[in-house]
Amino acid sequence: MRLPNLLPPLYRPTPQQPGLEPRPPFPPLPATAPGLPSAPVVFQPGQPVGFFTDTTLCIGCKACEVACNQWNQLPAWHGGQNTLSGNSYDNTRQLDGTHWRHVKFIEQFDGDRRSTGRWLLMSDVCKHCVQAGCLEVCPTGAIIRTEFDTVVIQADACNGCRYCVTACPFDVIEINPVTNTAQKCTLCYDRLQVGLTPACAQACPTASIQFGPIQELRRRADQRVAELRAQNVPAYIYGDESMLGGLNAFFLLVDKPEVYGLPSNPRLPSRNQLPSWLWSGLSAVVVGLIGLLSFRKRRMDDLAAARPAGREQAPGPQPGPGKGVPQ
Amino acid sequence: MIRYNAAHWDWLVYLEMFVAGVAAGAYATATLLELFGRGRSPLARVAQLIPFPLMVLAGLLLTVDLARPERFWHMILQSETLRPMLKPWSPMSVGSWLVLLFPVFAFVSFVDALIGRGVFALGGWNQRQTLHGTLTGLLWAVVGSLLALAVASYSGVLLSTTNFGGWSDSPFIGALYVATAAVTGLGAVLLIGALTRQADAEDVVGLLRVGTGLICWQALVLAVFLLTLGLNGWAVFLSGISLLALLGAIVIGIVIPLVVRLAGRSLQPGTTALFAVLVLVGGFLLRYAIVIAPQASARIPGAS
Amino acid sequence: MYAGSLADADCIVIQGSNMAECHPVAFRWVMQAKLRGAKVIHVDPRFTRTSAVADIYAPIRAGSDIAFLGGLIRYMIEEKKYFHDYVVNYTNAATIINEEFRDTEDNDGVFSGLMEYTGDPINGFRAVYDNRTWQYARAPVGDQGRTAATAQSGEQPITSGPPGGEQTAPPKGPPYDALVQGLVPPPAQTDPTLQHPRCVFQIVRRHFARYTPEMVERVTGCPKEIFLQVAETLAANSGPDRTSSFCYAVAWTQHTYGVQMIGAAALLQLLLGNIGRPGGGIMALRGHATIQGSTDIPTLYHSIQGYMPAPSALRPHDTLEDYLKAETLGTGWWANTPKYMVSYLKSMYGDAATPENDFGYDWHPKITGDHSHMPMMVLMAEGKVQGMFCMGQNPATSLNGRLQRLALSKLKWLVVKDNFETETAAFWYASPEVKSGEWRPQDIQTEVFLFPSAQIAEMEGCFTNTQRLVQFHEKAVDPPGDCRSDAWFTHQLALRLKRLYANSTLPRDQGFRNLVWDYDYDPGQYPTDTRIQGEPDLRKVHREWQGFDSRTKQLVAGFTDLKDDGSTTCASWIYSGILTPDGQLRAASRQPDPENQPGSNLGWGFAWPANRRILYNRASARPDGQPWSERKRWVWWDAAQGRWVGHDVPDFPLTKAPDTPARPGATGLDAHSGADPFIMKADGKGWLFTPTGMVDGPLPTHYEAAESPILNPLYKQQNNPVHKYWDHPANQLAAPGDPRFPYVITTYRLTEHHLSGVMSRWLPWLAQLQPELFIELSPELAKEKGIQNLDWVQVSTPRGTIKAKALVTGRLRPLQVDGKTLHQVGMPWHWGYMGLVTGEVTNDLSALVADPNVSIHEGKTFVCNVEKA
Ligand SMILES: Nc1nc2c(c(=O)[nH]1)N[C@H]1C(S)=C(S)[C@@H](COP(=O)(O)OP(=O)(O)OC[C@H]3O[C@@H](n4cnc5c(=O)[nH]c(N)nc54)[C@H](O)[C@@H]3O)O[C@H]1N2
Ligand SMILES: Nc1nc2c(c(=O)[nH]1)N[C@H]1C(S)=C(S)[C@@H](COP(=O)(O)OP(=O)(O)OC[C@H]3O[C@@H](n4cnc5c(=O)[nH]c(N)nc54)[C@H](O)[C@@H]3O)O[C@H]1N2
Ligand code: SF4
Ligand code: SF4
Ligand code: SF4
Ligand code: SF4
Ligand code: SF4
Ligand SMILES: [Mo]
Repeated sequence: MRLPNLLPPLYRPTPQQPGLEPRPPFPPLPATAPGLPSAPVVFQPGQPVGFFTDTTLCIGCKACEVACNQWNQLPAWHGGQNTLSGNSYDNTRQLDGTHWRHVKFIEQFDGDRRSTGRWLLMSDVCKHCVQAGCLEVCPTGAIIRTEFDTVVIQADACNGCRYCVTACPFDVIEINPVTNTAQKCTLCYDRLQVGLTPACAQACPTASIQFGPIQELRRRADQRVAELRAQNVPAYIYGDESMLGGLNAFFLLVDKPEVYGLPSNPRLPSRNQLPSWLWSGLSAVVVGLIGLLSFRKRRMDDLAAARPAGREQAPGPQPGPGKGVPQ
Repeated sequence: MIRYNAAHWDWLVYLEMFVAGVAAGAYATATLLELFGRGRSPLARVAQLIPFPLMVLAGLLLTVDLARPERFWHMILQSETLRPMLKPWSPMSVGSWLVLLFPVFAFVSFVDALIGRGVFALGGWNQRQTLHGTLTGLLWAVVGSLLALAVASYSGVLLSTTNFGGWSDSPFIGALYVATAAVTGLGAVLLIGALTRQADAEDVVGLLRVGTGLICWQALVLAVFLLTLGLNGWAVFLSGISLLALLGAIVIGIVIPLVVRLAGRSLQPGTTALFAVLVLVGGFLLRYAIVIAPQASARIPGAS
Repeated sequence: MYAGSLADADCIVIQGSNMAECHPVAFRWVMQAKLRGAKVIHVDPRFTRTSAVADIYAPIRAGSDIAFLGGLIRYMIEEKKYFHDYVVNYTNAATIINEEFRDTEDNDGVFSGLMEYTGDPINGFRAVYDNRTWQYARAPVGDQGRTAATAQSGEQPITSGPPGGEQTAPPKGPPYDALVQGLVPPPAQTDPTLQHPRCVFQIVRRHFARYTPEMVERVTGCPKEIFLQVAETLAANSGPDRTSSFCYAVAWTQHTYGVQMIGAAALLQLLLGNIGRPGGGIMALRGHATIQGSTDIPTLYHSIQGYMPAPSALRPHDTLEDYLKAETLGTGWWANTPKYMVSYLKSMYGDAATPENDFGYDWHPKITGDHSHMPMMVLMAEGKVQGMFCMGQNPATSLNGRLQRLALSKLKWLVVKDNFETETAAFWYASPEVKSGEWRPQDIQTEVFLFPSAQIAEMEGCFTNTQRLVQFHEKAVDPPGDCRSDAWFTHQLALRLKRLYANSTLPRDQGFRNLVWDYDYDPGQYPTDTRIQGEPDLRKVHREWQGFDSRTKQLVAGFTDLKDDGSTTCASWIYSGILTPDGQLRAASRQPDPENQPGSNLGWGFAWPANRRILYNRASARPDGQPWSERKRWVWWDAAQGRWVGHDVPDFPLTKAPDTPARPGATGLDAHSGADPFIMKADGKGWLFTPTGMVDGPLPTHYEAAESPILNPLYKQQNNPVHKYWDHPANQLAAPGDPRFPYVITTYRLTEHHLSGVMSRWLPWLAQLQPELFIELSPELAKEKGIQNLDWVQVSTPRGTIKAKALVTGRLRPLQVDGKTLHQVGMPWHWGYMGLVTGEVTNDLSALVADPNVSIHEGKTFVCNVEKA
């Protein structure tokens, strides 16, 4: 049977069904319950943006890790042929040159499981510190602060000296074996430049990773902390302005930083710099003095000495050509 | 806090730090001899031959150590604009410039020493007309020596200016590096002197006396460094391979040389050479211990 | 219900699923609800990523869910927490049951009507139920429901039929109105006071009386106080202005009594008035992409379309009339069965289908028993199956893998159409049997054809997801090389077969010859932007779903337009409405509700039937048509307009007033009153007690799994008396309490992998996340067995022994069950011998035992032993 083709080649979205009332808003929700932000994030260059990672919303699905690997085309461990770490469900193990997002699994269970126990899940990432150790020390200027107040390593400038690796208080950076340059989260600089949400935040199904303008995020974070405190959850923000001038990727945690493998008091490497130079200077002076003094002592001896054998006296250094050494 | 990511600053790096230290120390020693050798110290002329080649070697080691050696010049020039790249607050940036400038001085002194030996001549600059002994030569040497000591310091400062537990636990690595550089440099000069038999007795006696002083100073700084490390730092340095290396450095580089000095006042080239070798080996072990300690374990202790 | 509605829930019980790990995107709505203050409860043998974000985690022994749910049911009844008005008006609580009915409570754990099974052993039964005594009390006794279209038993001792069985046959149709009229039963006896000893409510009360909190703890191992916490939270969050939802997946289905587990949840939700309301209901989290679609327009053997049973040689289906008599209900929506059946036959045989030839009914294939996966593989293992098409499946790693690989090795030919060379395609040279030297490739006669398949982004088409939502997706790129879409493959195969049979005169081939297969693009219509030739025109397939006038080919408006006289054609009545009158595909529509208002999103995709999001949503209003509460307003009666209105498409005759009385003796929905929300049911009520549809009893009862380390603490009857089992040397079971296999083992998924792993173990980015097979066990068991974390462990069952690395974790815990300490271990089953990362096949441990209703295996509970390797 032949059909009159009623269908246009392309499908057009159909309007809402007629005869249906647009849904009225939900009964007012408690002020502490904003729900998941679902509107597209708006932000402009010049405006600091970052991540608020609410670890209490994380389900450890690793979508963020995979999205990051995929968007940034980062190679997998041994082409995927990894080994079981035995550390809960964490097999990617760390942040480094090829793992720019890393989901941590912290199991807390007591012997009899009476207090049911916890499984803390946290998606870690470069903190995009306002005072960034890596940026501070980079000798080539490869590490820059962008118009979004994020910290980015320019792969074309980095020469792989690895100073940043030692400088980051959070153990974020490593050399990427493919590019042989130091690499870390770029906060999807390439996506930000075209107004896109970073891949990891986009992929997060539960909005554990929330991307947006820092101010907005801090507001939301404080609200969430208050909300959780009200349910006597010991929630707090890791990375407020008091920490390295503020981490532009900050976290809501419910246990001590160390539990999550984070330093409780991260500091800039430069804290040691001036003292080091000064002490070195002092050391140099002392070295100089030792040299001078010992030799002066030698001259005194020479003068005091009666007939020294072998060498005529000379009244100190004299200009003009020195006599060549005897051949 | 445990760190997972290593800097992979390995043998290339501690060898470089040792070599550069020797170069710096040797240059300073040469200057010292020139100051008091009344322009005729044969040992000074020999000493001036040492720094430049060593600095060339050091530069090569640093370059090869980069993950992208072909980009070594990014340390000096901004890769995009080719404007000079200098960050005074980054020890490595400062260091790069020092490692560039010091060899210039070392090179001139090196050439001067060769000309002095009549190996070749450059017009007016010939065996009769060398810088050696002249005031210019002296100034040149003094400025060069300052740069030399800076070169000796910066790598130590650099290590302290990190977040690796151990390194960042003490601001005295730089000071220690200076002392070690001086000792090892002097050792190198003595050794060459002893081998080439071109050192006259007084210079040797003087240098040995200086050496003794420097060893004591190095011992003192090392003590301060170790004492100020704190729990975290001790955990890092006073364990495993780095502890061994430290003990080795103390025994070989400090204790025995002192004993040798006190015992044999006599001046056989043998004892001098022995003394020289000991401080060199000790210095190397110290460099090794300090660079390797925080990286020895796969998991690096983070800054406390 | 639909996932978005979870955001409206005040309490969400996730039991029988690891939702966060297996449905992370749908889990978004659970988090949404949580952020709004809802309580999330997870009941699971293991502390999982779902438990990690739950407010309450209740540990449970695998397979003991009915005891847990039974405990909740008892609690709600005894503590008077049930939603009285809802129960009385909307459920069959008041209906009185036939006096010959004997409950498990006074019958040693079996219902009345149990009898020995004498049919074909391939159907897996050893005993079956005669459900005559389970019926409503009415004179004469008749059938209340229909055989659930999902009843895969293949056989039903009791057939639907006119009341009292014998009756003078109504005149042959079409039209079939008289036939339908003849099926109308006399009304059932009821007692709205719920006091009558044989009324459903009292029977249910007595049935669950023994499921006390203490008993729950004894049977499930879940500490009493945690159980009570769950019960209180659930009760506190159900009622006129609060609703609670249940989410389950295959941890409830993969049991020899899985359907009863879900039945128990349904019973509980009806008691709490949580069905048909926003944030209420039971979320069946389905598995594969569009696995829902594959049951709507089934790839299932036992159902033709729209949940109508496939004609069967074992049931009175000889003629179309017989079929309609057997499968139509006089009252309720299913009175429309003749229209849907005839329209379906028209879509099969087109103009060749005429009233004279019963619309080609005789050409239609009839099933002769249980043709589902497991019996098929058993027959295959016995060498009774010649060839197999394996598209989108990897049986070599599925249940009782050894037996399934053995079966494959008996085939003459095997077609695997897949994206990768799967374990199934490679069994003949890479299987453990070959590696161990047990088989030699040259001895295996199976000829394997591996067809490269296009991937999802390389084809266009519709997905039907877990909430009946049909969504169209476009094609992004042409598939590489010879890769082709499944539509292409099926279409081309059909065209070639048609050609082969074109001139056959054999009677048995006439059906295939008359089968309409006209999905080629019309001239000039074929897309120009592709390299691939020979794809079918999917828009024509959509037209078949929508239905059209058999003569003018004009699209029908919806399934209400379908006729039983052949004047309309429709391949699947439930999908009718997917096209707008001007032929627009609703499944392609993408119009979400405003931010933070999950709403019903009626502009997003198409949810069958009729773009309805919540089924039975008339129950979201009181009998008088007004919302139970402001908070839970969803669909209500607008007296002014004289019609049902709301946020959703009302699941009720639009203009049927709430006070419309039922018309006794009338057919279809006229037999229901304006306050009977459950329109698919013959009596318009939600069933607490299911007289028909369940082949293993009208009420859920706790049985032990086919393999269990303990004896049933509740009844003399150890396990489901009618569960399915296939006796085969490679499929032996451990006896209850067998000391050689002391531990309970359960199998499950990880977020990081997909099923047999073919879609994840081949991908470096995913493979690195969970690279190796492991077994999860508690520190206590590990200590007992001297096993360290990451040690190699040997796991054995009567079917096989495999090795895996130990993952010792506090997330598993020993339970106190029936006075003894019981250890549970768990294994993901994503590994196999092909791919980037490989591991042994967990399913070499599992057995072929199944639920009698739907023939799904018991992959979630069996017994094993664990030793340090
Ligand atoms: N990432 C990912 N997602 C998937 C899939 C996948 O392979 N990977 N598969 C898809 C498919 S096909 C399906 S069917 C679904 C399955 O979805 P789920 O059923 O949620 O997944 P499972 O992991 O099989 O089982 C879930 C949980 O059941 C628990 N469990 C085991 N036995 C019992 C029991 O007797 N009672 C109770 N209450 N819990 C028990 C297990 O501990 C496990 O945590 O997931 C779908 N989604
Ligand atoms: N022990 C135990 N066993 C189980 C379960 C359990 O929980 N425990 N779960 C059971 C459940 S719920 C399920 S659903 C089954 C799943 O078992 P299977 O369906 O046998 O396993 P899958 O890996 O889903 O196989 C799907 C195959 O389809 C291929 N594929 C993907 N896309 C396409 C496509 O577009 N076209 C074609 N032709 N092929 C494609 C994939 O590469 C893969 O090889 O396993 C069952 N087995
Ligand atoms: S976290 Fe480390 S890498 Fe990231 S910006 Fe801060 S210092 Fe740099
Ligand atoms: S490794 Fe690259 S980015 Fe890091 S400090 Fe060196 S040059 Fe800068
Ligand atoms: S922001 Fe981009 S680069 Fe950074 S972790 Fe997320 S995806 Fe990776
Ligand atoms: S995607 Fe979101 S939920 Fe999933 S692991 Fe990452 S942060 Fe957690
Ligand atoms: S894999 Fe696909 S179906 Fe499963 S949760 Fe993710 S998006 Fe949904
Ligand atoms: Mo599934």
